[in-house]
Amino acid sequence: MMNRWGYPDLGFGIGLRTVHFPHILEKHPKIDWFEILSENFMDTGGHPAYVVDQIAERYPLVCHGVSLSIGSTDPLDLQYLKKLKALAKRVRSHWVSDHLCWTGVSGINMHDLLPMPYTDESLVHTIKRVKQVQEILERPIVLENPSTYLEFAHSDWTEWDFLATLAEEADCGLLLDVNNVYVSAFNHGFDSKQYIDRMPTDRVVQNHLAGHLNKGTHIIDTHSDHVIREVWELYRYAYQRTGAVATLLEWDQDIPEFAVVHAEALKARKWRESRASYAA
Amino acid sequence: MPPSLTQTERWMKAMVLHTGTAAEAVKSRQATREIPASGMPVTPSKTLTALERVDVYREMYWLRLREALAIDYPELQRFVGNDQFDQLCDAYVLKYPSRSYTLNRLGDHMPKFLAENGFELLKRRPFVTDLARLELMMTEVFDEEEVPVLDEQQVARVPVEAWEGMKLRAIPALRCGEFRYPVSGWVSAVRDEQPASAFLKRKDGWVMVCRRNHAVYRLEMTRTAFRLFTALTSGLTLGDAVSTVRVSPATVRGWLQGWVANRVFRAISLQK
Repeated sequence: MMNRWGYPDLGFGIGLRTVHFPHILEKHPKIDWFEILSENFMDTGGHPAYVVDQIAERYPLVCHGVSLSIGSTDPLDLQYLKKLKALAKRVRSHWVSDHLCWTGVSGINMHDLLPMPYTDESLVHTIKRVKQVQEILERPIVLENPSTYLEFAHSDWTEWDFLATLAEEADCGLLLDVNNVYVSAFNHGFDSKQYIDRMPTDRVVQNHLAGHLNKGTHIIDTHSDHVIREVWELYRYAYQRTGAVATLLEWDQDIPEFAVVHAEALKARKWRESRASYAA
Repeated sequence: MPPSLTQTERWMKAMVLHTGTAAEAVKSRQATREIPASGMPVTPSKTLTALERVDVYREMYWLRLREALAIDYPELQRFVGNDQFDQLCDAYVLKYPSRSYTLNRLGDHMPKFLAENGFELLKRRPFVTDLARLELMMTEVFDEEEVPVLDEQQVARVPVEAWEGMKLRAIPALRCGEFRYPVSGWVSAVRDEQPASAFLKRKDGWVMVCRRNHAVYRLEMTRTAFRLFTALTSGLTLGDAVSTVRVSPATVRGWLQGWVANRVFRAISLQK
């Protein structure tokens, strides 16, 4: 099944992290693709810029941001968008993604992927902003479902219906983070498969996978460990609906050596091909 | 009427930025201006109360910003210790919250904050302020634009008789600073695990921070070299810059050779 924009299945990649720079530049490991955190490369002309240029010469890249703040009621940051557009062009980003969230308001940035109330008002507001961003970037943006730790009492929509409707109305793509679905389902007590069933499959262009921290009462999306079996099973479930889309493993804390992270990403291939009895 | 999106976001901001407990935050003026304390907009889960759920975000906010400041100010953290550094960061962020999409700019006001006595518990404030200034210079240099640099051959092609009218333009990845304490020496000593207490004594110092092959370097300078270099890179000709200092031509030549070898100039022009 192909997404509506014809974005390719880039295969199995990992998030580019500073600790792996020397290994990648020296060894040129065989890996399908990298995702870069846009903000880490937008404002630097130093070593990070040098590295990303080198890596862009050899590997497919995708710009993944954390500061678009698409749900904020503050005005869009046009300077940010201008730099993002330039970066995406420079590294030949296959698509540009960020999150369904807001990161700040009243001029203060909290640098977190903060949850939105899923109301009619929020939906109209976000649709309008996604359209504006796409006009500025001159490409569809791809929005990721966030991990959330609270829900608002005045939400009119479930997150999955909100996100699916937003994607249809604003004509944007979706990054289905399977771990985030699992985390939020645990934290809020919803059915993770129902969430995935509701995603418009022709708009899903990428998956995320990651490890997390289960604190018993709630799960924090730490990207600090191996992917747990339940998330792999959910990934397989998503794959059966979306078909093959680019898959990316995130590891941001207690990052092990490159080979370990890469091996974790490659497990996704086996899970795609596996039957229900497959054990990682 | 349920709260609007703006009210919800401003309420959440008030909750996250409040330094007291979540129970105190929900009753704060900033939070109740948006949503009354009786109208808690967050639902509880099966395992957490509404306030405990908000606390997840509140805790992560301070941790995240402390981590970002620790990346920019590792030596300041080393000097004051982890506990006091965390307190210092919290006080700093309260006064200078992030107003940018990037955390790279979060620490820009730290030297000013320290100089203004923004954190009263701090000991050796003048030293610490100088240390923060040096680390800010290093952070700025790290991210500056990379440009082609002048090499020895390009400078050697300038005829000796034209040197007086020579102007040199510095690379962007360069900062120079005048310090009241030998903080660069202190940084070198602690990084080399050498005794560093001698560097805590008051002594003027001049430091150039530059980048070469994507690595950031500190070069300690004399007062005269610093004056000559800043005069030169402010746009004066070499002749005019030299006239601001008392130094022999041989010394000037030696300094110039050293600066060119350190790749700190990007362009040369000759005033006729």
